[in-house]
Amino acid sequence: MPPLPPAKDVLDALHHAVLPAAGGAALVVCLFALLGRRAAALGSAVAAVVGFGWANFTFDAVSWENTGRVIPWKADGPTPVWHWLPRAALVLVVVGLLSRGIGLLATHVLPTHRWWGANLLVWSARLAAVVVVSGWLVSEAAATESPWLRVAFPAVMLLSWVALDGVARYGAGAQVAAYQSAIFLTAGAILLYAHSARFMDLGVIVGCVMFGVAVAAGAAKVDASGAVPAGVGFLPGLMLNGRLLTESNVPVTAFWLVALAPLTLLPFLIPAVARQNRWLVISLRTVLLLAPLVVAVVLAAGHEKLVFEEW
Amino acid sequence: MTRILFAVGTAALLVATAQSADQKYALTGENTTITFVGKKPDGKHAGGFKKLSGTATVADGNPTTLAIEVEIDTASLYSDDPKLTAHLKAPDFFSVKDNPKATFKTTKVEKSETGFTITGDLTMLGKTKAISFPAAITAGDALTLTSEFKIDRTAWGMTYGKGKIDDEAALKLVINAKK
Repeated sequence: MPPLPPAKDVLDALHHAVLPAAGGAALVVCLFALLGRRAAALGSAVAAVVGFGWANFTFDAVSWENTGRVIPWKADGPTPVWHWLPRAALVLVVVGLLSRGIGLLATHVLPTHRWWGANLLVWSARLAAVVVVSGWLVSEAAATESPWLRVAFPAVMLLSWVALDGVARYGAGAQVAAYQSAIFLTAGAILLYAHSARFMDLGVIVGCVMFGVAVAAGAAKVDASGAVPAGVGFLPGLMLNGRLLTESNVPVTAFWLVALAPLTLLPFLIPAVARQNRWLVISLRTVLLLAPLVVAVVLAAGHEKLVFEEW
Repeated sequence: MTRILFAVGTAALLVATAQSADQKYALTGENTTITFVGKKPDGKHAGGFKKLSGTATVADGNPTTLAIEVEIDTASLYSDDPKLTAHLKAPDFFSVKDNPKATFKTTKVEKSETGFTITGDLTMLGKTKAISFPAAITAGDALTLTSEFKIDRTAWGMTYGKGKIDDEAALKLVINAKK
């Protein structure tokens, strides 16, 4: 059992990251829920953006120029690849909403037996966005060293999107947000073991945003699937860059296990599985999703010590 | 006689040229050390860089003409704690895989009351900032330079641990390079 971090660090993180991220996201979901259930998906998408933006703004309160925050709209010299994470998330959230709208419109125009055409439209737009965004998140150096990343990275993004969106559309939007929260908080722990507090902050902030969305959407019983795309590129991008830019004894498997965790939801898209007893499905989903996360933390803790244990 | 005069004249010219020519010194990790000390409320840690390459040139042995261009291999960073070294190499501090080189280039050297003041551009994490620091310099068969000064790490965007780790880091530069 690793020692707890210093109380001051915990309070700082609570004050500047956890509360703005989770609170901001939950507040926005609640506001949109007041407008009706139809507005909820849009609300969860806006919540993801507002929650991240708020925490990003408050977490490292120094001057704009010397900021440690990841400012998505500010380019100062050659920008490291990981600075593109919020931009990628924003683009995917917007494409997610627009493609959903286009899909809905298409179902009104097309006869029922042609609705596959609507799905094709939706996922073609998302595939295009994934291909573009993945190019931002895989550095030239990484792609040169491991050319397979050019294919594997967008494939993981797309499959994650299919899995998370599919389960969320089965009426489990709040649960999916909770799963994403667990995945990102675990990512934060792995990245802290890898000696990067800054990457850990990013994982914790997105984890808290998703936690806020999950709690508010769960309490209001509204759809939260609009927030799903925010994590689709952010997670593999964070884990890939966290792995490549740090030096530690954390096994690469721990990074992979977290980055690929959303894919454990794929079996639940099979109608025969999804139609099983609701509680059985929820239990199975949760166990399958948490298993790789637990293994990842155990692996990291077994090979590396946390920074605050050292100095 | 004409030939002798021509030879003597040429030799004199060569000697004069050699005396006024720039003296160039190669800078390496062996003859140049860059070390730093970072402080926090309950302690401090020391470190430095093992590898660097560059040149220093001085005209007529005059230190105010000193021009230094040096490229530091950031991955050669070391400290008094292996875990701290890994953390310092991460994006929280030097992000050495994104920024494998840090550079320094002098822009001006002025005589001061206690020695000399060197001004130059220090590039780290993709940002270039002008810095000035005092130094003791002698130039002859060997170039010696010693300097101790502080820089504000946050000026280069190195903001991790603000409030817990001092913004200012103490640097020590020692050059002992032969021609």
